[in-house]
Amino acid sequence: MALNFPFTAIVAQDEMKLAIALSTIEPSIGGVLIFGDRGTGKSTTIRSLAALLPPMKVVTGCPYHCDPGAPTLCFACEARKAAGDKLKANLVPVPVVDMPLGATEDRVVGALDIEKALSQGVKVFEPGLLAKANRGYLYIDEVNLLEDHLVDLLIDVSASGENVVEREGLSIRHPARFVLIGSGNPEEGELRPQMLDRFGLSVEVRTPQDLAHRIDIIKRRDAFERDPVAFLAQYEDSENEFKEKILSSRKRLARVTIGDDVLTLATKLCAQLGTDGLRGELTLMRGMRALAAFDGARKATAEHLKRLAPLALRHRLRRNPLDDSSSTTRVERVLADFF
Amino acid sequence: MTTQRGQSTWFDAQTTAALLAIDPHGLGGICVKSQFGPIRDGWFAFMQTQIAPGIQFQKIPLQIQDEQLLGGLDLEATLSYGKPIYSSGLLAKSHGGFIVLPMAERISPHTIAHILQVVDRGEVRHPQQTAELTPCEFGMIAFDEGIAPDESMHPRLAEHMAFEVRLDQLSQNDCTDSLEINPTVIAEAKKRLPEIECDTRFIESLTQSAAAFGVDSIRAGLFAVRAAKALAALRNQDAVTEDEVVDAARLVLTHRATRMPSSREEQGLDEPDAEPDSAEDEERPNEDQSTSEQEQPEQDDSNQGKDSDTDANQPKENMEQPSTDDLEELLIEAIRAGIPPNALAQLTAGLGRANSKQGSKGQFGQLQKNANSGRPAESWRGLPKGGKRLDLLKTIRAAVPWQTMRQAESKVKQSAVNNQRSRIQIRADDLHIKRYQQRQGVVTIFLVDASGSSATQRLAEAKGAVEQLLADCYIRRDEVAMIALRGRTADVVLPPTRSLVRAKRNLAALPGGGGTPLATGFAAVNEMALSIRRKGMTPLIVVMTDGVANVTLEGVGGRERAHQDALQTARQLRAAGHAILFIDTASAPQALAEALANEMAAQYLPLPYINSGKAISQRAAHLARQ
Repeated sequence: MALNFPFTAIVAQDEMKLAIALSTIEPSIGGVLIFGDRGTGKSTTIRSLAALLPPMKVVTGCPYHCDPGAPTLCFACEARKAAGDKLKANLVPVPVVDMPLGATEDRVVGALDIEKALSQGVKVFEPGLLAKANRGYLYIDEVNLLEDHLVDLLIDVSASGENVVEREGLSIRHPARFVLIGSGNPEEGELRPQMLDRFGLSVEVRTPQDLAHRIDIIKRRDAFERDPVAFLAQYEDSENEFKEKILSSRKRLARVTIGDDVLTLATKLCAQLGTDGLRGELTLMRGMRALAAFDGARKATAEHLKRLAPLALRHRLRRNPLDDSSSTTRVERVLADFF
Repeated sequence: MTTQRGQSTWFDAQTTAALLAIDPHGLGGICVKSQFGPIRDGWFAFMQTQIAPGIQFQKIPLQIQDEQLLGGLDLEATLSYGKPIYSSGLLAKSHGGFIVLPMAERISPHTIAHILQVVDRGEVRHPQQTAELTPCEFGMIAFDEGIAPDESMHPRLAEHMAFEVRLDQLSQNDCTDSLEINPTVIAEAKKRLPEIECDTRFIESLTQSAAAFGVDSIRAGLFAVRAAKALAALRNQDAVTEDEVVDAARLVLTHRATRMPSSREEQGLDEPDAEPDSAEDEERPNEDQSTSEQEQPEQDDSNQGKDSDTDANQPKENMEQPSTDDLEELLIEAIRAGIPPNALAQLTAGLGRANSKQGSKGQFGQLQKNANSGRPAESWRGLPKGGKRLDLLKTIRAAVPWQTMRQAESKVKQSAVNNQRSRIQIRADDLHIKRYQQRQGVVTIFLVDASGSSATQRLAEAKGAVEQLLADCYIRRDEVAMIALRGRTADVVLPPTRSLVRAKRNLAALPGGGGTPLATGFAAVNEMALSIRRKGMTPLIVVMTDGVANVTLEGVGGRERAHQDALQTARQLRAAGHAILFIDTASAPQALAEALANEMAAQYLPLPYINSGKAISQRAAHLARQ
C-alpha cells in the first residue's frame, strides 16, 4: 500500500481541511465539493483523510461492510444468518474509494460475475464501487466531467442510500450510503445544479499566494518523498491529536444546541440569498453544530453561522447574469449586511 | 530559428530524455510536440538506444479498451480454454518502463483518467479485480501532433509531465550532434538519485521563479526540484548546485509560464490608437528573427557551446556562489530566454499558453445520447430503440459467457426456444448500442473589433452578449468563443467554452485600442469555425465592426490594401458557408461594412437597431436555430 501524505502536514488550505473535518464529524452534512485548479493539493488532502478516520466495525466478509449493530443487514448477511451462519465482526479502516472519471457503469453499480458464470455456471453478483464505498467515502476527481448517465445514477443513489440492480433475472438491493467528495475545475465545465445540490459543503482552493507557504509545501513534499516513514513519524503526534479531536467532537455533537435566534438568522440568510429549497438550511444547521462541536463549544452561535455560511451556501446560489461577482462574494456581501 | 537556438533545443530534448529515464515516476513524462518526421524519430531512437536500451516502451493505442489498459478477464482466452484467464493490462506491463502515447492530442479523457489514476497512486489493481494492488510506476512519453492552437494535448495530462519538448522548428542540422550519454551513466545516476541533496535555498528560488511566471501548480515546483536532483545525479554530483537549478527551471517552468514577471516593462503592447504605417518599428513576431538567448546545456564533455551573443548570464563552473537574489535573476533570465518570442506578446497580454492550452472542450464535451454519426465512442448497454444502432459485436461478446448457463436454464424451462447448441442465446441485457461522440449545440464565435474610440462600448456590448448566451447554456448546451482584433493581430481571447467563470475571467482582462486587421480576423474566425465543425458542432459567427480595415493580412498599415484583403477573406467565409451575423458598430450605417457583410453572405444589422448584449444574443440564438 502506498503511504499517504499526513493530513496535518498539509500547509494552509484551511477551508478545505475544515470542510473535510466537519464531514467526518457529521457525515449527514452531505459531502464536500472542492473547486480549484490542478496541482493545488486536492487529491493529496482527500487521500490523507483515510488515516484520520477511526476504524469501523463490520460483519466479517460482508462486501457491503454491514454494521453488526445495525437493525437491518444486507441481503448477503441476512442470507448467511438464515442459513445458520454465526456472523463475526471485525474492525476495518473506513473505505475511501476513488472513482475514476472513466469508470464504466458496471464497475460503479456492480455486475454479474463473469468468472463464476463461466467456471461454475452460476449467477453471482459482483459488487461495484458503490458497494465498496458504503459507510465510507466516494471520491470523484473531475466530477464536472462525469458522463451524464453516471451523474443521474449518483444523484439517485445518494438520495435513496441504496443501490438497486436488475440484471439477468437477478434483483439486488444493497445499502450504499457514503459521503461524496468531488473535485473539479469549474473552467472545464459546469456541474448540473441537481448534482451541486447533493454536496453539503463546497470550497474553492487556490495555490497559496503566500510564497512562504508555497516553499513550505514543496519542502515538506520533498521530505516526504525522500523518506516517507521518517516523515510520517514526525507527524505522528499531530495526526493522533487530530484524530482525538475528531472523536471527541463526534461525542460532543449530540449535545450541541442551537438557539432559536441563530436558527432564525440562518433562515433569513437563505431567504436573502435566494437559495432553493430547504437543503441549504439543513446543511447550515448540521454544519453549525459540527463546527461548534469541533470548536469545543456547547452552543452554536451567530459566529459559527458566519464562518460556515460561505461553505454551505455558495454553490446553491442561482446564477445571476447581471451580477458579475463570484458566489463567494455574494454570500459575503449578504453576511456583511447581517452582522 | 538560428542553429544555435536549435541546437540547444535539441540538447535540451535529449537531456529531458535522460532525466526521465533517471526518475520516470517522479518526473512523470515528456510531451513531445512535433509532427511525425525524422527529427522526432531521431529523438525517440536516441532515447531507446542511448538511454534506455532493453527497457520497455509500451505503446498505448488510441482506441484502447479499458480491459486492455487496466487488465481483467481475457474474454477470448477464457472462451477458448473454458476457464477464466486473466491478463494484466498494458499499464501493469509497463511497470519499470515507459508508456508511449501516439497522437496524444486525441486521447479520450476517459483513457486519460484511467492512466492518471494509476500514475497518481503508483499502483494498479490486480487483473482479477481483487482489492489487491500491485506497484505500477512508469514514465510517459506523449507525442502531441496537434497543429491548430486548440488541438493540443489535454491539460490534465500535460500537468502530470515535467517536460515539454518542441521539435517542429528544428532543422536536420541542429540535430547532428548528440549528448554523450550511455546506459551506464543513467544506471549510475539512478543509483545516486536517492542520496542527492538539494539545499532549501534552491527550493526557495525555484518556487519563487515559478510564482513569478504565474505557474501556480505545486506539482510544477516539485517537478523542478526533482529535475534538479536528477540533473545532479546525471552529472555525477552529490548535491544540486546552481547550474542544475537554472537548467531545471528552464526545462520545467518555461512552457508552463502564464505571464512575465511583473517587474519588467511590458513589451510593445501599448499601441497608439492609430494606423501603424509600417511594421519596422516593432519586432514582428517571427521565429527567424529571434536571437538566441538560450543557454547551452552545461553537459560536461558534450557542451557544444559557442559563445552566446547575448548577455544571458552564463553560470560558470568556477563562479562564486551568488546571493539568492542573483540566483532569482538568473532563473528568471533562463526561463524568459526559453519562451518563444511570439508567445511573449500573448503572455504579456495576460493570455498565457496556459489558456490556449486548455484546448477546446471539443474533445471533452458531453456525448449526445441519440447521435448516429461522429467518432465512435464506448458502446453502452441499452435497447436499440429510437434510431439507435445495435453494436452486434459487443452484444455477442456480452452474451457469450452466459451461454452454458442459459442453455441449462432453457432446458429446465422446457422453453420453446429452439434448443440447438449452435444457437447463441441473447437476452435483453446483452444488447449494446453504438454511441458516437458528437458534440451538441452551437458555438457562437464573436469577432470583436476592439480598435478606435468606441472600443470600450463595443467591448462592453460583446461581453454582455457573451455572458447572456452563457447564462442559459445549461439548457442549450451552447458554447461561446471570442476573437479580438487588436493592433495588428487577431487574438483568441476566449477559446470555445461553456464556462461562465472562465469567460468572465478572460474577458475582464480584455483591453481595447489599436489598429483594425479585419482580414486577419476573418481568417482566424474562419479557421476556428472550421475546426468547430470538424468536431461535430455548429459554428455561428457574430462579427462586430464598423468595417473600416486599416491593417493588411501581412500586418502592415494601409487602408486600401487592408480593405481588399478583408473582402477577399470575407469571400472565404462565404465559401465555407458559415452562418454569420454582421453587426455594424458605426454610429451611422457604413457602406463599407454592408459591402463586407454581403461579401460573406451575412445577416447585416446596423447598431442603432440592435443596441444591447441581450438583443445580440437573441438574434444569434435565432439565427443558430435556422
